[in-house]
Formats: sequence, structure tokens, C-alpha cells
Amino acid sequence: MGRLVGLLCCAVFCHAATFGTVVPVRGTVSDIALDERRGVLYLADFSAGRIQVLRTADLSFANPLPPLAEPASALALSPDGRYLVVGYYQSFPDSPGQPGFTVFDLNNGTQQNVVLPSPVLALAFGGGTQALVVTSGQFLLLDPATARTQALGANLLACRSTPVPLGRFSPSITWASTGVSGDGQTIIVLAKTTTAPPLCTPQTEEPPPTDASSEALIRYHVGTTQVDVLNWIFSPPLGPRAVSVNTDGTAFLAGWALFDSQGYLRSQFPHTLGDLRLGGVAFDSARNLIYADIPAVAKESPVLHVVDTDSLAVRERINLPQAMAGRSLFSSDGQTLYAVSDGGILVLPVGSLAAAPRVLASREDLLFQGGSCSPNSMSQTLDLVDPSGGNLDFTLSLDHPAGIHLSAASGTTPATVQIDVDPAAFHAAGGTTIVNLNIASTRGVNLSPPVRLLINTGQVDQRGRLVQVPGKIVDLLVDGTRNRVYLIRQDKNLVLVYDAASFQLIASLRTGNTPVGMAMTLDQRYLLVGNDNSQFASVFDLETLQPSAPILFPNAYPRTIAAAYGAIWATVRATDPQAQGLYRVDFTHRIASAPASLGVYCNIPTPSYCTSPVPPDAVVAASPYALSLLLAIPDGTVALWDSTVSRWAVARQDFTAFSGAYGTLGENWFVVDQHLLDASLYPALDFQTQTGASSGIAFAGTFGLRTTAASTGAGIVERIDLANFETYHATPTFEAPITAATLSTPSIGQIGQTILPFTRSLALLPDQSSVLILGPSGLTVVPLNFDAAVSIPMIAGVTNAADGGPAAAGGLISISGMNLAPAAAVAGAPPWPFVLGEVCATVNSEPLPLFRVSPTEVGAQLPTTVSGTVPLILQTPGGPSASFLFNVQGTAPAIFHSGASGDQTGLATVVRLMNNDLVTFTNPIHPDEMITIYLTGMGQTAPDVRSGDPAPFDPLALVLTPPAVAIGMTPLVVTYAGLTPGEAGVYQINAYVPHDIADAVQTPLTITQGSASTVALVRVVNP
Amino acid sequence: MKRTIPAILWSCSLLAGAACAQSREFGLIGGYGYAAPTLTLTGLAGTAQTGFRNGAAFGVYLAENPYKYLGGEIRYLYRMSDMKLSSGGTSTQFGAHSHVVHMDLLAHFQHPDSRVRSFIAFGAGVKVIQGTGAESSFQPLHQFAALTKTMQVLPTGDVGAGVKLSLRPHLRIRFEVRDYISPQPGKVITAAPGVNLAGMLHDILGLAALSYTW
Repeated sequence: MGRLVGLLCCAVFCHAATFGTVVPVRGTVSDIALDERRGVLYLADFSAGRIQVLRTADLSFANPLPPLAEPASALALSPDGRYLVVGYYQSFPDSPGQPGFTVFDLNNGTQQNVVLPSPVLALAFGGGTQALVVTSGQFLLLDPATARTQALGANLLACRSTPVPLGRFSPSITWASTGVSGDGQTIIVLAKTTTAPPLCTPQTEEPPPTDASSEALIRYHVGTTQVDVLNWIFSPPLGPRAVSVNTDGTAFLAGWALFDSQGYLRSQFPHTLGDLRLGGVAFDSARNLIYADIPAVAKESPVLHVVDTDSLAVRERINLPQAMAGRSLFSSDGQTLYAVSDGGILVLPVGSLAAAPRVLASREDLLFQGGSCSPNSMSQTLDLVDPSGGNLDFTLSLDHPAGIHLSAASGTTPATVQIDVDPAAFHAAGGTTIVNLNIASTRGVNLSPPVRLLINTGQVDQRGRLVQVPGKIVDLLVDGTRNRVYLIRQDKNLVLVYDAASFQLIASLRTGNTPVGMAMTLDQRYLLVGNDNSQFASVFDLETLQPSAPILFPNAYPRTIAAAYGAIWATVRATDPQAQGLYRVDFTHRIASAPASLGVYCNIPTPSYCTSPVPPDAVVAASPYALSLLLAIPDGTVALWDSTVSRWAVARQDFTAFSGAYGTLGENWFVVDQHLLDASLYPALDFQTQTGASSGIAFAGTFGLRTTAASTGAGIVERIDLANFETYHATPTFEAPITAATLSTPSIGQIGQTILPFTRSLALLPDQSSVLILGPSGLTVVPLNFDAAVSIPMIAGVTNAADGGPAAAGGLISISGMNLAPAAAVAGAPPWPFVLGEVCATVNSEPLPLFRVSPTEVGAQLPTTVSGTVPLILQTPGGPSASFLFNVQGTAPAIFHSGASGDQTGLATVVRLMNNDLVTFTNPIHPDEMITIYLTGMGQTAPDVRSGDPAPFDPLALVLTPPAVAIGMTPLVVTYAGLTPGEAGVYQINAYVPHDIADAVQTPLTITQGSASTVALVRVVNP
Repeated sequence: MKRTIPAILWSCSLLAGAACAQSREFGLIGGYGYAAPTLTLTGLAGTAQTGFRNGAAFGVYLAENPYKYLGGEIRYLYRMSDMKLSSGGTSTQFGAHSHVVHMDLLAHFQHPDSRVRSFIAFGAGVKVIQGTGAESSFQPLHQFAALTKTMQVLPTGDVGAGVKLSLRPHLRIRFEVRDYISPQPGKVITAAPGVNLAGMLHDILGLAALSYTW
């Protein structure tokens, strides 16, 4: 396996193309400055002690500036392009020079050298005429015309508090980096100190780690020359050593974190090494994007992450030829990004990134749903394209290739690859098997995310229907007030809002980075979402589906949230272990804090005997009427918030560990994992574990529900008798519910993943008609009466689905009868499933693709290979029907009578091309025009199209038996007769109406194919 | 149509003889038409009224006055006449216009030298109705009739009366009222199967004309 992964990685990385150009530099670049007026980029070559000059037009080097006595640590160019200021780092032992800076007058070719007592660490020009100089001991303002400096203050960083007045400064900075806002009014300084400064007010703030260094975020207002310390970061180091500010200074990136103008951490990259040397960030305000190279693992191949500017959600990953390593600068037109790199300078034409060769797949997930009714092979197609329109090579590989066949394992874009899955290979696994289809290209610069192949081999006795939801869904919440379902999609930082009736996606709400859990406020007005890589919980107004002011969690990352009467509590991951605990939310002021104790119980690890704070992996859940709130901790501890006394009234540890389901069964019974706890949280009993690990719990008023998942196979939903808490009527579902194990996958780059040991996978629809179970493919919708006896289906008749006439090979049919399906369901666009709404049908033992089912009617498509008298069997959870014999003709054209217009229904689907409208009494056929007739039952085509699949656009599938079309006695010229592209089982005839067609209020439009014919009455007006 | 007008003029010449040359008139005419709601549709769904909307009309005419009190003229009129259909509180309309060409006999009550001459007129011709609206699969009241984008030619008769005023030598003004009577236009207004279309078309136009005489 390791070898396979290695080969795969090599296939992806070793030969992949990269984006951008590297200009090697003989030395070590510590800083850059872009002089667009002269068309050059100045490079502070630290180790070679010189300023190199790179021509931006051809990326060749011009003569360097006069040699320097000391290593150049920083560069800045005045806004008018006249002065280039070069700062020097601390001299090495035998260096003849001294720290300080040199001002080059680029217009006159002169220079002024100034000696300073401390090394210069960073330089920046804002919109004014003065430069900010950061040394290891001072902040200075430099007038480049005179080379005179003015101290901004001292002891600014002497102690940790925000803000501190000017006049204080700690001479302990070891390095610094600066970023300037696009409007030139804000300069952000990221300064690293050797040791953490003491607290300004130690009696009210937590102490710093004793041995920690720290980074200070300092803001300099150019207009007011005001300096503020915005924030302190302790761990991990705030690498890479780069700062990038947006246009107006309201947001900036410093190292691995995105801050707002007040220095609060809005979002952070989830997998940070804190490597100060490698990586870089660039805030592209014009495109509302951030480019970031933040190494997720040591020595990884350099990857540019293109991410959102709010949540850092990864849009694309681009291969870089070399890792970024510090400052990056945009050209004024925003087309080119110049960045210090590991071995020189990276020149990235980001303005043309959209035109860069990339291979992208048309789908994120492909669901193959089969089972006992599945055919010998299930197929889906996947389009692979280069969005820039190029022809790129690609290679496909599968994590587990057994049972899966790709029509092409390699090729050139654009391409359509057919994926055939042999259901037999997955029957033993049961439930849903996830196989990653990996995409690689030697010429594409991007890293394509793998496409998930979700192969479900459900059996007819398994209940539910799957509503596919792509991505990593980690939490589920139902909104009874608005009849909606909320799902957290963690990999894209979204809350997906679905209509609970139609399961149509209503909205996608953008959260902070790595959302984990959610809750609604008691008034049902707001949705609160905890984000594991943001120090804010997202808040959404559910009336408008717009974001509301978020909740600040100072120095903590919120995870799960629950609202009870009198309090909203959240579990968090605190940045400082001393602040780890349960946080209480002040929703009015949108801020949260950790109380010193939870009533009589410890919360944070202070005092010292409170050694077991509430850990990050804990979860909270509210009872149905919000009178209680359950806290569950993986170490087996539970606690109970009692709203009637507004206290944490109970806390116990009767178990050594637990995970899985958590929730309540009413106000007085609580469930964690398989354990039922009474009102005092005393263990009352354990539910059965034979069917697998617990995943979800739900309260339905008069009974409870729970789901379990075995390590393989389908899921189980069962009822809980609230009188004796016995579980009964365990029923298999199509897909196993989520567990921490199934959600956890290897991290990919900077795409976030925070999987808690507890899961919430079960919810009831507001109308209590169905149960929703969260699984790897999305939602399994199970009728609430899943355990009710289902009657055996009885077939009464079979006709074509167009006009009720005879059925034909390849045509759409309508099966009528009783108990044909437990509930109504409709398939979407083809390809159609072979199991729909827990129903499947076979003819000659061959499964039929289904497009709609209901208790009295089932719509299906016949294969093109059947003919004569054939047996039909329908299977539902009630069992198989008796075999029903019916006749299938080779051709039996039948015009659909499914058209509707205004109050008219049942209209023949004959369309005038002139106005693309149905032919009716008020829209008659005229001479010299084209009409299109939609029908079914026209038999075999060339090429043959598998039943249930959409007909191809190229080549078109033409009928083998050509039809004749006439209006009255006048024949029409048929220009096309074949399958309608993109449709399944739907044929169309395009015909030309001759000039001499006769007027008629009602005249027969006759289609004859072989010995079969069909008629629709139409009106003709000439002219 | 091209053959009809010269034939009428030729007939007029025969009728008038030498006197035709004494008083000829060419005029521009315009006015507004009131389409009486006289077409009724009756079917299982109830009854509906149909016909044409009121609208402007304009055209030209050429007249001969060979006798002291009798004259003749030929006329072309363009009538803006959208079709309409209504029943209960629902109504719909459909773009249409018509062309009318007819020849009339005019009987005057005053001497030709009178400055003011009143007259009555009657005649016959053809009406060409052209449906111009956009057809669609749904029209309101389709259960009664379909208003159709097609052309239909109908015979038409007309009666009317008016008065002519001489403004100056060779310049005359005229005011008149005409009722153009046509059979039901069953092609442009097609009754739905099972629906009976009854009635005659009456299009009453108030017209004014300015003419040159010689």
C-alpha cells in the first residue's frame, strides 16, 4: 500500500506542471521592492550583501546597486519611486560595517548611509513620504530626503496589552515583516520577540507560557502616525514570515492567520507548521482572493492555495515550482505577483491563472446505487475539462480498482470517461463504499481533488432513499419553524440549507473556517455555527439567510454550541491550555468567555487541582424544550445544565470513555453513545450494540429513535420505547450513518478537517413524516413508519407512459396497480436509478431504470432488447409481486400527452419550431414550418443507448425503423427521427409542413412506424 | 383586386358619359370605427362575445359626379382592428387589421353648385382581415374560439350618409358615417369544436375627408 501511495504521489507531484517562473538568485533574498517606473524589482540579497536588480520585462538581471557593507535585511521604495531604502541586519563578527540603513536616491544616483544602534528588521513606505523602520530596538520614521529618523516611541512591546500607549518599547524583536494596505494608509508589522513580554495587568489576564517567544501584530496608521499593538500570538509561530494587507486595511494576513482591523483572528489555515522561513501569502483584493503557500507538512511540494478572503475555503490548489519564502508584491495592474521564494524570486502571472492549463472534473461525487435490482454494471460518466479550453493529458487512478472499470485511464481534455461499476464486487461490503478516483496531469498546473465514487449496494429490504449531498457533511439540524434542513459542509466552509419538503438546496451560507457544530437560538431566529479555525462563531439570520454579527471567542476556537433557557454554551479549542474550558456566550454583545468554574465544578485548569478542563473534543446538546443542556466529554464525563436554576447541576464520570451518539430523549433522559442516563445522569441502561456503533439519537415525542453503524454494511434505525427504553424494530437503511471513523480522511493541503468523536446523524422532519439520517453520501430519508408492515405489491397493468397504449422496446412504461411503492418518489435527470423510493422492477430478470414511483403507479424504461410476452416483477419492502406478463412490441410509437399550457393539460407534445410552443387549437400548425413531435416506443436506435441513460448529443441516436408522418392525407418531410439528446426513452421526430397543407380545425397527425401507428388531432391554418 | 378597380372606373365612365369629366374628386379620408359587439359564440361552456376592437381608419377615394344628384366613388380604407374575445369577466385580444375596398353610389340632396350638399351612400366591396398577433398554445377563452394569425377575405356591404362642404374652388371637405356589414370571419376567429359562431359584423365608422375636385 505504501508503495502504491508513493507511486500515486509521484504520479501527482513528480511530473506535474507548475505555475509561474522561478528566477534563481545566487544568494538569499530577504526582501523585495517593485519599481514599476523603471521596470525593475530590487532584491535584498542578504547573504551576498548586495541589492540585485531584476528587469521585470525579461527577468534578466541588471547591474546591482553599489555594494553594501552589511547584509541587506529589508527594502522599501518610496511611493514616488525616487528613494530606495535598504536596511541592514546585525553585523556578523568580523564584519567591518555597522547596522543601519542606506537611502538610494534613484533619480540622482546618490546615496546616504545612516548607522543605527540596532539591526533593521523591516521597512515600509505607506502612502506618505516617510518610511517606517523597524529595528530590533526601535520603531523609527525616516524622511528619505534627509535620511533623518524620528523615534516613534519606546517600550511599545514592554508588556502584553492592547492597546498600549506610545513611549514603551521592548528591545527584544528578533525579526519583523511588514505589509502595506492598498490605499497606503495602514502598515501592519509582524514582529517576533525573543521571549514573551510580561503581562501589563497580570492580575486579570492569563500568564504567558514561561518559555515562549511570541509574535506581536502592530498597526501603524500613516495619516496619524499612530501605532497600536493589535494582538499577540504564542503558538505555533506565526509563520510564514509574511504580511499582506487588503486594500483598505480592514483585513490582513500575517503568517497562517487572517485578522480583521482590530486584530481579531477571523480565520486561520488549519494545518500550520509555523515555519517562519517557508511560505507566503498575498491578499488579492481586486479578485477577492488570497494566494497562500502555507506548508501543511514538512518538506511538502510547494502548493499555492487559492482561497476565499473570509473563510479561507480552498478554491484551487496550484503546483508551484518553488516554495514562497517571505514577501510578495503585486504589480499595479494586479496581473503579476512577485514573491520571494526558497531559491530566488517567483513570478506568478496570477492575472492569467484562469487561462492556465488545469484539469477539472465535472462532478465532486458520483453515486452508484444498485443492489439486488442493479444490473450487471452500473455506469456513470465524468467530464474532464481544462477550463482554459486546452487539450491536456490526464491520468486516472482508483484507490480500490476491483469492480470498477474506467473507459479510459488516461486521455486528453476535453474527455468524457465512463465509469462502470460491477455491483457484485461490492455486495459483500453492503451499504456505501467510497472509492476515490484520483486525477493527475503532467501538463496541468493544478492539483485536482479526487472524485468520490459512492457505491451503494442497498437491498430492497433496506429502507430509505438517498439525497446526495457532496462534500464532508459533519452536522445536521432541522428547522421546524421554516421546514428546512441545515447541513454543515466542512470541506467548503458552508452551511447548506435544504427545503425539507423537496430537498432542494435553498442557500449556501458561508461560515468561518472549518465549521464543526451548529445550534439555533431559542427564538429560532439565528443559526450559530462553531468554526474550529476561527475565533468567531458564525451567526446567520434565518429569516433573511444573511450573516449577522459573529460571536467573538477571544483566544479560542468554538466547536459545538447549544442554547438552553438562560444560557448558550459552547465547547472550544483554546489557544492557551490555561484557557481551555467551556465557554458561555453573551449573545447580546456577541462575545464568549470561559467562566472560572461551572458552578461547583471545574472549568478551566485553574486552580491547579482542576486538572481536567472541558477538552476541545467535548460536545454540548440541548434538550427538546431547552430546559437542560448535556455536556459529554470523551473521557466518560457528562454534565447537565439545569435552566431552572441556571447552573451546571450534575456532573459524573461513570465511564472511562465514550463516543458516537449524543442527545436527549425528552427533558429527563439523556443518551451518550449506547448509554442511557437518567435525570441525575446516572447510568440507567445500555442500548444494544450488536448492530454497531451508535451514531445518532432523536426524540419523537412518544418514542425515541437511534441509529447505529457497523464497520461495514448498511445502517440500522430502531425505535426506543420510552416506557421501558427497550429498542425494537431495528430496520436496515440504505446507508450507514456517519461515524467519526467514516468521516476522518487524510487531510489534503489546507482543506480543513475537524472530526469530533461524537456524531449527530439523526433528525426528524418537522412534519414527522420521515427520519433523516446523515451518511457519507448525504441524507437517507426514511419514512417514519419504516417499521410498519408493507403490503405485497400487486400489478394490474402495463402501458406505455405516453398515451396508455402498448409498450415497446426501449420505451417508457407505466405500471399500474396497488402497493407499488411505500411512498411517492421521482428521479431527477437521467441516468435513472434502478432502485427508487425503495422499489425496483425487473423484466426477464433484467432491472428497469425507474423515473417515478407511487403506491399506484411506477414509471420505468424498458430495455431495447426485450420483445414479445415478458414477465414483470416488482419488489418493494413488502416483498416481490407476482409475475405479470405483458406484451412488448418492437415499435409502438406513442405521442406523449403530457403537455400543459394555461388551464390545458394532457396536450399532445407536438411543438412548432416557429415559436417553440405546443401545437394547440390557439397555436395551429402553419405551412412551411417545422414541427417537433415527442414520443416514446420507437424501438431500437443506432447507436444503441442503454436504458436509463441519457441519449447522446453526438452522435445522435437514430431509430432503425424510420417513421412516416402525415397531416390528414398530406405527408410531411421527416428530417430527424431518433432519441432526444439528454433524455432517456424519449424520441423526437422533426418534420417539415408543406406549403399546400389544407386548413382544418381538427385533423389527424399520424405517425406510422412499421405496422404501428399513432394519431394526435391538430389544427392547421393556411397560410 | 388589381383588376377590380380599373373595371369599376371604366364602368363609371360608361355610366357618366361625357358628364364624368365635369366633376371629379380625389380625397384623403380618415376617422374612427366602432365595432358593434354583434358576434356571439355559444357552446357548452356558455356564451362569449367576439369581434373587433374600435380603432382608427384611413384611406383614399376617387369619385365621379356625372349627374346632377347622383355620383359614384371607389374607396380604400385601412382599419386598425384588433380582434377581441370576452366572456364573463375575462377578455383577450389579438393583433389584427383590415383592408376594405368598395364602390358606392351617392345620392345628393342639393344642387351641384350648392356650397353644402348632403348625401346618402350605399355600396359593396371586399374586406381583407389580417390577424397579426403572436400565437401561443394558450389563449384565454380558448374553449370558445381561437383568434388566429391568418388572413381572410370577406364580402362587405356598406350604407351611410354625410355632408360635403365646398371650402374654395376645387377644395371640398366631407363628413360622413358608414356601416360596413360583413359576414362572420370564421377563419381568423375560429369557433372551437362544438361552439357556434353567430351574427354579422357591423363596423360603424365616422369619417372626415378632404378632397380636390376638378
